[in-house]
Parts: sequence; structure tokens; C-alpha cells
Amino acid sequence: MNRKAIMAAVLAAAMLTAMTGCGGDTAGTPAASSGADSAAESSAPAMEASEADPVVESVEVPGDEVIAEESGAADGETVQITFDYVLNGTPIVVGEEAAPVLEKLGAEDSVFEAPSCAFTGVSYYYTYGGVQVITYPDEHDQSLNRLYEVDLIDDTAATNEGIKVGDTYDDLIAKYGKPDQETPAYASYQTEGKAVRFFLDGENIKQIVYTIVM
Amino acid sequence: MANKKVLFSGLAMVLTAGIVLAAYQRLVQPKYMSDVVEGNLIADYYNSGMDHDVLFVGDCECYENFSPVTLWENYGISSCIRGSAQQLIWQSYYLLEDTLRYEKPKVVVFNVLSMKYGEPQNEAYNRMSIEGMRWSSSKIGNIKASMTEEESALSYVFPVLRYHSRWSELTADDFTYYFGAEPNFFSGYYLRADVKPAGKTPTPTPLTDYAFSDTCWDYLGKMMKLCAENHIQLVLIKAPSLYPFWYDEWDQQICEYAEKYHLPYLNFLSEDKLAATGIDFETDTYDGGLHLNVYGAEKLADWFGGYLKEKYSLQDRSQEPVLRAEWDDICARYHAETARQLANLEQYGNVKGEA
Repeated sequence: MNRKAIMAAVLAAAMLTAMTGCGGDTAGTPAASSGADSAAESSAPAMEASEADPVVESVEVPGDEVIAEESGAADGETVQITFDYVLNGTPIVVGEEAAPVLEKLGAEDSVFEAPSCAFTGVSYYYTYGGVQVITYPDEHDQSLNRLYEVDLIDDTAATNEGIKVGDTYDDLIAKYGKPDQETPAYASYQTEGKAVRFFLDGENIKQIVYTIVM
Repeated sequence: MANKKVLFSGLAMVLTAGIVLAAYQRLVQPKYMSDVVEGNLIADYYNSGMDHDVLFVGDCECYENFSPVTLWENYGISSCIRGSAQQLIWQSYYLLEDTLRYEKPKVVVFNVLSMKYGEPQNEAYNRMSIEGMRWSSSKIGNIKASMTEEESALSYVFPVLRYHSRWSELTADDFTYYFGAEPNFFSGYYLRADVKPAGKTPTPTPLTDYAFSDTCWDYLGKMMKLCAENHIQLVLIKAPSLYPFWYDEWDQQICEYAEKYHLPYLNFLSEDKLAATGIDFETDTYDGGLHLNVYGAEKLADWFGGYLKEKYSLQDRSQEPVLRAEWDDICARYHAETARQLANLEQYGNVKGEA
């Protein structure tokens, strides 16, 4: 094997001299980009906005929280929909770097690691009571994790607008107004790059998901 | 005479340039030896004797969850796995097609997790699944079906176009394994001897649409047709991996398909199969339930071997001299690797032996 290695090295030296002008923008080994079975890939495909979009306008509010103001609530009142879930006073902005937010959130109840197949990136599921925060490795830097999704999984957690698991579809419409998209299985409200989705089990909400929309 | 000289000189220059380029191309191609070893899985198949009764095709849930050595040692069943990381269904189809050029197994086992991906996903995984294939119409079909928008088919024909700038990242492996990789696998199986119990599995996020794509159904149909044409029994399985989530809605679609086309479908995540196989996620996984370790893979293969033998009358071939010689070598390497990893675990706390 050593002889082979020496032969290869000699050959390589000649090759490199010949090829250094090659350049280009391609990286070496294909990037260890988002993992095979990462949270990002296990999610549903991005949804198209419905034609019946309500008028949505983003405004800045204290606490770095992006708020979308929506008209069209069922009761005729204007409601404000927040697309960044706030947990214990900490806004969780999907798409942003995870580490500073996780530090602010403090100790989680449990964490589940989902390493990418073959590569080094790891997706994480952090649980804080009835809230599950999912992160995924950055496409270009596997050591950097980003916030991908926030799931409200039981009735101990409510949206910033007060809707929680177990509430009815009618409760939702009364607070949030007409969804941007809905089927019998879910109602979705979205703004640029983000959505909050209410998954239904019959008339009742079974899970609430704040997520990225590509 | 002068013209001839010019012609020969020109040809010699072109030939030299070609050799130099080919040599450089080999140098800069990833060797997948110290890191991301899964990149060598596909090419590893061509080193085998290519006489298998059972062929597994699929993703990591195949190549990490079933031990072909157990199938051989316990039942005399010669099997191999053609799997790679995040292997998409069309990649499994083209690898099946490719395999049938060399041999005709009696049973093909397909793991259905990849039904969830209806579109090309990731270049890095594509490369690991495709580049190790020998050239054939199957490889070309695989390239066409798999490429993401950023990839070019030409870079699969001439990988130097993709890897040329790797010269600045070359490591000792690129020289040591210039002339070929060392065998890291055991008939397509990736062995891990460490244990990391599965903890609490997170709550799955509901999906807005559970329907598998038409593309996936098409390829499953093509796989079924190819098997039927070659008188091969196709068996659908869902390996016992806790994550990625296998939704009930997905399982239902596979159950209906299997029933419609009279295909066996074994969901090893079901309670009865977990009880039958004896898989214990406290001891039989090395990464918290995503993949089985060697102990889990042996349990699963032991149960599955009995099933295959009974259902498809597979013969015990352990006394066939040629097969036996090859399997003796694979088994010896397998047991040595298990022992090596256990020793590393004891000494260093990890299977790689990293201090």
C-alpha cells in the first residue's frame, strides 16, 4: 500500500502542477448539506398561498416579534396573527440560528437527536412542556443549527392569540379569521416565509405548528 | 513524412493529456474511507461473487438493519444489500436493474421509507448512490432521474468537473486509497457494535398531504414489473426505525397497494413484528432508535431468514464450496470488525478508536 501511496503522490504532484489553473466555484466533496432524514425533509412540501389571501401586512413590535396584521376575522374585528411563537418570553423565529434562542429558553424537559445519515449534521427535537422546538442543520454549515418548527402538542400551551390544542375549529376562526388555506385536516395562516398551521381531528385542533414556508 | 510526425505528435499529446486528466480525476474523487464510508457501499457490490438468493434494495434502513452474515450463518441464505444513504426509490429501481445484469436473486426485498420522497433531494446523496455504479443504461437512467437542478449529467461522466477544486482539500486517504478502497462492508451491511438506547420519541408533526407522489408509485410499479418478468418474488418491508416517522397514513397506502397486487408487506415497526423479532430499543440500536446496531440487525435477520426460508423455500447453500469460500471470508471480517469495535469501545469509548 505504501508503494501505491508514493506512486499516487508523485503522480498527484505532476497533476496539480498541470491543473492549478482550473479553479471554479464548485466545492470539493459534495456538501454535507441538510441530512437525509432531517426534520426539514420530513416535513410537508411548501404550500401555495390561496387565492383568497387576506390582506396581510408585517409590522415591527417590541420584543423583536414580527407580527402580521390581518383583516377578515369572522366577527368583523381585526385580529393580529403572530408567526413567531413566544415561549416564556422568548420569541422563536423559525429560520433563525437556534443556539441563542435555546440558551434563553433554558433547560428542556427532553431532547431527541436525529443525526443525518452518513453526514455530521444533527436535527434536534427539544421539548418544553407541551411545546416541541425542532432545529435542523444549516444547508451550508452542518455545525450551525437553525430553528425549523415549533409544535404545540397538548393543551398546556396556547398560541400567542390564545388558541390551544383541543379548541374547536369555530374557536379558531373566531380568533384568527379566514385561513389562507384549509382542508378538512388543517387550516393554515401564512406570511412571507412562515406559516402557522392548525391540524384538526374532526372539529377539534389536535396540533399547532409554526413552521418555515419555502 | 512531416505530416505523419505532426499527426503522431498530436495524438501523443492528446493521449497524454487524457491520461493526466484521468489520473487527476481519480485523485480528487472522494475516497469515502475515513469519513462518510457509506459512499463506498454501491461500488462494494462489484467485489462480490454475485450469487445471491436474496437482494435488499433501499436506504440506510436496509444497510444498517439486516445482517446478511446472520442469514448465511443461520440459514445458509446468500444475500446482499444494495443500499446507500437516503436512497430514493428510482435509485433503488435502477440498482435493481443493474444487479439483474449480474445475477437473478429469488427474492427482492424493498424498504418502503423512500416512498416519502417524490423529487430529487440532495446532490451529496445522489453522488453516493450513483457514482459507484458501473456504467450501463441503468446508471444513465439513475443520473437522469436523480439530478437536482444544480447538477449536470456531464459531471457524472467526468467527475473531475465536480471535484477538480478538491485538490486543496486532499488528505492522506486520497493517496492511500488512490487505487481502490478497502472493504468496509459485509455484503452491503454497515456494522455498528455500539449501543445508544432510544429515549422518548418526539411527537410527529402532522403533514398537510400524506399522498405518495405519482413518481414513487410509478417506480414501485416498475420494480414490481421487473421482478415479475424475472420470476422474482418482491417483498415490501418497513424496517424497524423509530425515526424518520412512518405515518399511519403512509402505512395504509402501502397496505392497500400490497393487497391490490398480492405482494407481501411486513411492517417491522408493528407491535406483533417487534415482539416476534425481539427488537429491544434499549439495547439493539446505536443511535437512539434510528438504526439498529449489529445485535438488532442479527435479531432481525434471524427472524426474517426463517420467514424467507419458509415462504419461498430458499435452500441452505452453506455447503456449496464457491459460495462458502466467499462467505467464510465475509464472516471472518464481520466477526473481526465486531471484536475491533468492542475493543475500541472499551478502550476509547467509541467504535472508531478515536482518542
